Amino acid sequence: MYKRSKSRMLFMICNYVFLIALSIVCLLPMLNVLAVSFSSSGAVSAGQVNFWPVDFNLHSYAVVMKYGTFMHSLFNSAERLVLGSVLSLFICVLTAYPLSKENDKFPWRSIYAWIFVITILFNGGLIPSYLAVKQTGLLDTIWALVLPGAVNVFNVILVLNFFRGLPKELEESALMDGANHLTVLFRIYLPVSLPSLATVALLTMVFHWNSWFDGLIYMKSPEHYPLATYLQAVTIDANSLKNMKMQDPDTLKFVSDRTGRAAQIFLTALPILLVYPFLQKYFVKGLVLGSVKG
Amino acid sequence: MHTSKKVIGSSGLALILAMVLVLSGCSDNEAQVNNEPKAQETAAGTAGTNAPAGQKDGKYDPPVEIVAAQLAESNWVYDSGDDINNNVWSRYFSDTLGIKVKLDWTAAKAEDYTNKLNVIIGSGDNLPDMFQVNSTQLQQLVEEGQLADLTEAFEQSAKPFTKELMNKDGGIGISSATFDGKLMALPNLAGTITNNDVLWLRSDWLKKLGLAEPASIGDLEAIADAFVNKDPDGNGKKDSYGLGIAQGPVMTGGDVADLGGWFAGFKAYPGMWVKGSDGKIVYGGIQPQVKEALLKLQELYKNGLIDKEWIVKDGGKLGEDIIGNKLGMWYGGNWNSLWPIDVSKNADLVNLKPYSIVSVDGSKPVVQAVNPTVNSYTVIRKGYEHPEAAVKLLNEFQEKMWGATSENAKFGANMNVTPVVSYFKYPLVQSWPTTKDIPDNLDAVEAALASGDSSKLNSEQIEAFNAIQAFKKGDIAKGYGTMRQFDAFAIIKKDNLPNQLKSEFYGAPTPTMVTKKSSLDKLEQEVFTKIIMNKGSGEDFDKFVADWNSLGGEQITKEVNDWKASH
Repeated sequence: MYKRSKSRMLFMICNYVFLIALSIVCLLPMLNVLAVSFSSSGAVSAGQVNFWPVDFNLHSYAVVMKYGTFMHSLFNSAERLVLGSVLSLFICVLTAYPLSKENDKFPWRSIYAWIFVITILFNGGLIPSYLAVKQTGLLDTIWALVLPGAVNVFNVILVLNFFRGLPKELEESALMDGANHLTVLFRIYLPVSLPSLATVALLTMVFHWNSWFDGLIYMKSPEHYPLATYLQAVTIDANSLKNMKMQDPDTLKFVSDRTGRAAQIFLTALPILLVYPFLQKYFVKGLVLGSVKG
Repeated sequence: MHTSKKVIGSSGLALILAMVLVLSGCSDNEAQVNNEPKAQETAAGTAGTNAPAGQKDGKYDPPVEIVAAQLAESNWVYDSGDDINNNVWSRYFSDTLGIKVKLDWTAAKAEDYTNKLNVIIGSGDNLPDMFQVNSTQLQQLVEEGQLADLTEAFEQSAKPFTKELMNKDGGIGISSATFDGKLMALPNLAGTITNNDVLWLRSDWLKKLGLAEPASIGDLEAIADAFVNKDPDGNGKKDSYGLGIAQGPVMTGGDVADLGGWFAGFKAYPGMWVKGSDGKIVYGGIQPQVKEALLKLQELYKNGLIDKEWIVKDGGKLGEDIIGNKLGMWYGGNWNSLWPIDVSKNADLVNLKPYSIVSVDGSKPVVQAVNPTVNSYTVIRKGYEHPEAAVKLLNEFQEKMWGATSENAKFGANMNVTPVVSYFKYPLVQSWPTTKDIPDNLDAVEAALASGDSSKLNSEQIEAFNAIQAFKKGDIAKGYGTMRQFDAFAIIKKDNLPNQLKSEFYGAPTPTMVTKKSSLDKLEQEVFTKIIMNKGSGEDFDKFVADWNSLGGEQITKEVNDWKASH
């Protein structure tokens, strides 16, 4: 396709150098946090730790594991992740299937589709959302974190486009053989849609794992916080010391406990880091596939 | 086909309409349902006794329950089995006062608490019976008429000791919580004199280089020059800095490596409202003395006496430089000896001592300004039937912390365990004596050290006493922080207590402050930073003054003067 000309080579080299530099820039902060979490707190406050642990030890991790609130939050996040992803995926598929049908099979299809799309462009805003959650009695329950975001229209459109890209003959032959729509959806469409489903699952999981503000607003006590909310509460910056009462040596100790916080940050990032490589091969494929064929 | 589509379409439309109707009906119902629990609560509160008052020896009988919201930070430590709902204070309140504080919600960080409360206030949701607010929220709730008037409750239920402590700041706190002559909140006071700067200096470096304690900015410059060029730590490398400044920069005192002390040496007070020559209040940050102070800093920077990377270093990062023998001089609060100085990481840091700050003309003492603004207030929602309960809680808190029957080991903090258990943080209603550290604790501990008699000290003072004794006996790691903090207290008492300047404005943010102040502060930081780093000149400062005035500063100044006229 391309000739391996000199300028082409030069371009490729520049490209690779740039991309490698970019990934190093992304990677170094993570490495630093990891190194800090494995180092002794003395070495950290003396500024000796860069990208390799000094005085290697696992003390911070042992402390974090014993620390009740962290484990509570870890459990809350896991619960949220499982409930949220399963529910979200299920609703997403159920919504996308009918909307992927042509207008003659599903009258007023585009109007229904638009009703969904409008929610991407406009949303209720913070206070109306809070009122809705409160008045439906979801406040301080795990459902307050799961239900408001259960229908993610962006994901619906992704799956919808993928469904539209599938050959019509698949559906027609099945209907001919007496299958109903549920059978078509679950027995035929889903098995062939794994790339797009994996993409949607990953997006949903990352969303649930990382969001923290809803936890703060909808939960009434820190024991109910998901991990991300908990984490932002413990990573205080030194500026908040200004309003501190003098007699507060434990806050001072807490601020200098950078190893402990690094351990918590790393433990929080770990699950998503582990999931990513397994789903990543579907990721790009799933995003592009629907749109190319659509 | 065509008609059937239409039928489905119109029925779909009908369905949507029906849903809208149902939903709107719902919200009406909800609103009604919403008001009911409140009514039930109030009924439940007084149910049981129809007798009025229902108090015996100052104790509620039957007990009353206050629904509250509270900040309970994630790093608070409890005795085993205890938590924020059940601890030494909550048991004490329920046993002696018959008051049970039931927490409807908590937040783990001050910023989170404010955000969450803002959502609740903004949504018109039910407020808790008792909660803490900042001055902006206080103003808003008072204007909306959502808060109970506490004037009578405070007058009748506050003990003499409480009234004394609440007025120790000269009435500033109470005045800031008073609207149209009515006390709408209990201010949570704290000492502000502790926000004065001292100059932290490596005395061993001074000695080694044959320098004396600085008496003026000129001396300080000479010391900075020697620290940079004469290798004070003797490692053969030119790797040390002169004067430390933390990122920001922070314009007011009581921080780590802030500029409050430096500015005060030029009689300049950014961040403060000061009296101008004509008696009107003016903003300290736009006065000509500020320009002088900034240009002097610029000179230091040009001569290499300030770390070129200072704009990216926060207090923690400076701590690394301090421990690594790179930084030996900065302006900071009295508590810098506890953090970021860490003597356990570098034994030589024992020679870091606080000194009096210096002025450009060598005059002494240097007058510093502090901001007397109250950070938080306890409020009671309008309609709650026992507003005096908040005052009673405050009575007991202050009595058990500092009164004649104080029991600090039980209610203050348990220092004998690691991590320290700070009981004093648990109660929602708090207010601290503004003279606690300086001069109260300082005088008491100094007297005890002189006489050797520690029997009159409260347990917070005993902790300090023990730490200082330990330091004197050679246990540096245990005693250094407290020892040097008390050295700093002594300096502040001598220099600042007799001639403390206070910012003239301590009310809630004025309307223009709410909309414009943050961008003005940002402008100030940008311009000052540029000038210090030699990217701007004195002319830039003059332009800043003009900009500041035209971008809302003039209006704010007018509002501040109006506020002052009515207070």
